[in-house]
Amino acid sequence: MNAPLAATAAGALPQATLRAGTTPARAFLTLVRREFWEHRSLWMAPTVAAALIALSALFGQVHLEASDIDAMRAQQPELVRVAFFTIGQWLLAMPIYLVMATVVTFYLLDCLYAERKDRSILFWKSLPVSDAQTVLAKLVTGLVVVPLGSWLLALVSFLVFFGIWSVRVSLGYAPDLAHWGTLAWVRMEWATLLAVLLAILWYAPLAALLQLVSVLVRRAPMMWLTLALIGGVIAERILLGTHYLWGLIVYRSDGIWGLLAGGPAGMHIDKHNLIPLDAWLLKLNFAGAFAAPALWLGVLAAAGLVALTVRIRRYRDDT
Amino acid sequence: MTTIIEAQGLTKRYGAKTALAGVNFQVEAGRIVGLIGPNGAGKTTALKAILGLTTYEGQLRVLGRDPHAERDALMREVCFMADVAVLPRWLRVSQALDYCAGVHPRFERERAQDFLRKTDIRPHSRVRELSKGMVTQLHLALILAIDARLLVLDEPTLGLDLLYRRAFYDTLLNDYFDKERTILLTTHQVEEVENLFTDVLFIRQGQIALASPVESLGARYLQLTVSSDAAAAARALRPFYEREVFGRVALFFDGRSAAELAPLGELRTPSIADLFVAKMQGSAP
Repeated sequence: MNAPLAATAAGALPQATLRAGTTPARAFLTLVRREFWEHRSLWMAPTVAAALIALSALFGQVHLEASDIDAMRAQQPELVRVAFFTIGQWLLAMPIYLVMATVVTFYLLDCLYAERKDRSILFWKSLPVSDAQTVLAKLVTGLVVVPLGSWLLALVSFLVFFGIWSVRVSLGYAPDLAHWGTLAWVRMEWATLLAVLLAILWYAPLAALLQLVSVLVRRAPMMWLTLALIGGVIAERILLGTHYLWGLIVYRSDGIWGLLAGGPAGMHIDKHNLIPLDAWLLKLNFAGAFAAPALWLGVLAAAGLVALTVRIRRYRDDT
Repeated sequence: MTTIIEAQGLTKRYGAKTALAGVNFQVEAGRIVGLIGPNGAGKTTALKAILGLTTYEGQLRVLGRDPHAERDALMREVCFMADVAVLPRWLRVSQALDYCAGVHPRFERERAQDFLRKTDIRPHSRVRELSKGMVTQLHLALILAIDARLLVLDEPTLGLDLLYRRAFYDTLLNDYFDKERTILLTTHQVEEVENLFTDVLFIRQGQIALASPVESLGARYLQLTVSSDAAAAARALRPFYEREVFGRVALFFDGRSAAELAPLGELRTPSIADLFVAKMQGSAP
C-alpha cells in the first residue's frame, strides 16, 4: 500500500508538469496564434478588404446603357437578376482573395527569415518546439488558415453588402438588378470553398518553395526568389535551349484552373448570354481536378520541400 | 550525485578553425557552474553543443540524452537565455506568457505573473517599448516559471546597469535555484558573480584550462604578495603567473603549501577573477 505513495512523492516533478501541462493540439494552436501576432497583415489586410467591399454598397453605382438593359430584358428577367446576384458575389470576393494571396506570399517569404534577422530564433529554440512543428505551423497558417479565413470573410462581406444594397434599392437609390437566391448563394459559396481547397493543394509546392527561400537567404528573400526564377529560366534558355522551367512556372500558376474548367471550351458569359454563375460553377470538373495526378505530385513535392526546410532550420548554425 | 552534463573529447571545427579541441568536463546536479573564458575561447560553441544547436564530434550527454539528436525532448527540461536581444520586439508581455503556457509543458503562468507584478512591466506592453533591463526581467520571469533541471545563461546581463544585474542574480539565487536545479553561466563580469559559483570551468583556446569546485580552489592555488625586492626568493618557487601592482608583486602558485609561502609575504586565496587572469595570461599548465 505504501508503494504508490512513495512513487508519488518521488515523482513530484512530473505531477507539477501534468498540472501545468499542454497538449500537442494546444501547442500547435499557440504556434498558429503566434504567427498572427507577429504578422498582423495576415488578418488585417483581408479584413480591411472585406470591410471596404461590404461598405462599398453604401456608395456603389452601377452604370448600364439602355441597349444593355434591352438585351437583358430579352432574356428571362428572373434569371438575369439571379445571374447578377451570383456575378456580384463572385466579383466582390475576388479582391479579397487577391489581397490574401499577396499578403500570404510576403508572409511565407518572411516567416523563417524574420526570426533570424531579429535573432529571436534563439528564444523560439529555447522552448520545446521542434523545427518540424515550427515550419508546419507557419505553412498551415499561410496556406490553410488565412485562405479559409478569407473565404469566411468574403462570405460575410457579401451578406453585409447585399443587405445594404437591398436597403438602397427599397429606398429607390439603386437599380433593382440582383435578386436574392438562397440556392444560388449556397452553391456559389460551396463552389468557392471547393476552389479554395483545390488552390491550397495546388499551390502547396509554391508555398513550400517560398518557405525554403525564407529559411535559406541571409537577406532580401523576395529579391533572391525573383533572381533564382529569372536566372533559372535564362540559364536554361542559354545552356540547354529549352524552356521547361518557364513552362513549369506558368503551369503551376494556372494549370489547375484549366483542369477545373474541363478544357479550353469552358463556358462563355457576356451580356447576351447571362446565366447564373452558380449553375456554371456546378459544371466545373471538381472531381477531375481533385483526382488529377499533377495536383498530388505537387503535394508530394511540397512535402519534400518542407522536409528540406525543416532540416535546414535544424542544422544551420549561424545564430 | 547525478551528472547533468558529461563531455568527452568534445570537438568542434569551423572549417580550418578549431573552436573546441577535445574537451572533457562534467557538471553535477545542484551546482552553479561558471564557464569562463576570453572572447573566442569556445564558450558559446560549448553552450551551443550542450543545447543541441550545433553538431560536434566526441561524446556529449546532457541529462542522459544526445543533445543534438534528442533536442526536442531535451528542451522540456533545459532552459536557456542567450542575451537581452533575443525576445522579439513585436511581442507583447501577455503574448509571451500565452505562448510559453501554450507550448511548454512545465510552464507555470502564475509564477511568471507573480514576478512581473513586482516590476514596472505592464501586460499589454510590447518588448520594443521596454528598457533593456525590463526585457531581461521579462525573460527572467519566463525562466522562473519553467520547471527546468538545467538552466543555461549566456551573458544574461550584458548591457544592464549594476542595479538590474544585482537584482537579476539575487532573484536567480533566491527564487529559482535549489538542489534539483543546475545552472551553467557565462559572463564577462566575473567579479560580480564569483560568490554565486559553486564550480568554475576556465576555457582557453578551445581547451579546459581549469575545472574545479570553488571550495577546493584554496587548497591548490595561492596568491602571494611581496615587495619588489623580495620577489626573487618567491620566483624561485616557480609561480605560474605574476603581476606588479603599486610597486608590489603578486605571484600565483599552483600546488605549493601555505607553510612554504607564508614566510615570504602576504598570502591569500586568489579571487576567481584574479585566478582567471592568471590562468589566461600565465604559462599554460
